[in-house]
Amino acid sequence: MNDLTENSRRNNMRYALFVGCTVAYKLPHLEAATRYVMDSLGIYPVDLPFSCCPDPNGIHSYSSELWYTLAARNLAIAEEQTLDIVTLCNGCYATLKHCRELLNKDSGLQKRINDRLKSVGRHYTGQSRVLHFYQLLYEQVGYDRLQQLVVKPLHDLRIAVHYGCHSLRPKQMNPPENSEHPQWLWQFVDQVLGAKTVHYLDESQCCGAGLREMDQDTALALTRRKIEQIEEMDANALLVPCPSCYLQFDIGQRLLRRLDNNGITGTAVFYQTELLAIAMGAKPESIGMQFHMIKPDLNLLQRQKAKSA
Amino acid sequence: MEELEFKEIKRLLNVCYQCGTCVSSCAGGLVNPEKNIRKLIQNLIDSADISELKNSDLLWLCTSCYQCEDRCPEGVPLTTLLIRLKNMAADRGLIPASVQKEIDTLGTQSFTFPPAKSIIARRKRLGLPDLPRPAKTEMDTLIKLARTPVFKA
Repeated sequence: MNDLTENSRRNNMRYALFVGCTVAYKLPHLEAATRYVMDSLGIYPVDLPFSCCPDPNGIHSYSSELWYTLAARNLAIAEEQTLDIVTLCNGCYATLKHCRELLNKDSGLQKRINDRLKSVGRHYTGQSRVLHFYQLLYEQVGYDRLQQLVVKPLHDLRIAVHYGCHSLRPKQMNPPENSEHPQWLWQFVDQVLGAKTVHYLDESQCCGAGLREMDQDTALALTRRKIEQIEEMDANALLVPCPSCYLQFDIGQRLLRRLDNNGITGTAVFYQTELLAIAMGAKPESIGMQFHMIKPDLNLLQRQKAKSA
Repeated sequence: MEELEFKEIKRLLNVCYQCGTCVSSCAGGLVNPEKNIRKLIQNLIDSADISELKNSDLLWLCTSCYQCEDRCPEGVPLTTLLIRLKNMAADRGLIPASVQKEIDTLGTQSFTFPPAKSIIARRKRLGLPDLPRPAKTEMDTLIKLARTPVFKA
């Protein structure tokens, strides 16, 4: 393992698992795949009474003060257990990481927020780090170790990837290469899953999820544009590290097919830990793959030959 | 940045030389030419106050993907400024229905999506634990305190 955070070292790979609203209460099968992977890696998830992160678009746009306050409460709860947070969602990652950086930089803001937290008996110090699950895999565990645990490489999959805006930007909150030239998801497909990476034109473009409630036409037009490009390149899977993007692509394609008969054919969407769990030997039904809207070709996932020794 | 006044936002926009990088990066604008962020910037420069801003509903059609902010050659933090402007609009009660619904759900359920019975049953079937919930009184207290303005909007 490389570059362990201080808390994870001290706590023997225990993390506060920030499941988030979308995974917990819309897409629990993504949580099942994630817990399967954590268990296989000997990483212990701790469940704490977190609220909504809150949403980095809707709630932040409505009131930054509310956004900071509730994010600081979530961070303070992890601090009380001296645990680092690992999030399953780009949105939760963006909110918690963004707020943590601003609170740590601005002592006036931190004092104002702590005055509020005091009335509920909590205190923010900035001790707990925030990691996205992709970082846990990429930076903390490392792809070499993941590769050793893969028993069924997915050689027949042609995978297009979508990183999602909030795992990449704003750039000052993330590794500099993330903003325009991220590598970690492509490398994951290639080095860990043993599948083929399929490149397409608008790889870094938004999926449309941020406008899902506000303006469905524009949101679906963005989804359609990406899916059409992915189908053009003959990919048979789309891999995402974010449940909000997953939801937009999975439900969005079903809506688009209903709205337009001559439109898209449909590409199966997978969350990062789903394909990792399958490659590690999990049965598709045990991690809830039957709950996908665009049904994955399970034969394609199952018929992969086991890795030769 | 989050406490900027309207005139300070306008001052930050003054360095814009209309190169159009933000327009060509904008997710919403890519599929819907009506959503032209450069026009919005022009409207902002022409207004004395948020209440004068023409087409202020355009503010809410940002996916906050941060591509315009990351790519602006003049370093204008556009996404951040749009969020500040939406905060100002919301303080004046200009809140789109979908955002209002999200606030209401957060206030009553502590989550953006309330846990539906079918999903709770699905969680059980998948062998997932019952997640600990925040205390309602704690959430109520914090939401109430956070909505008390601490600086002039």
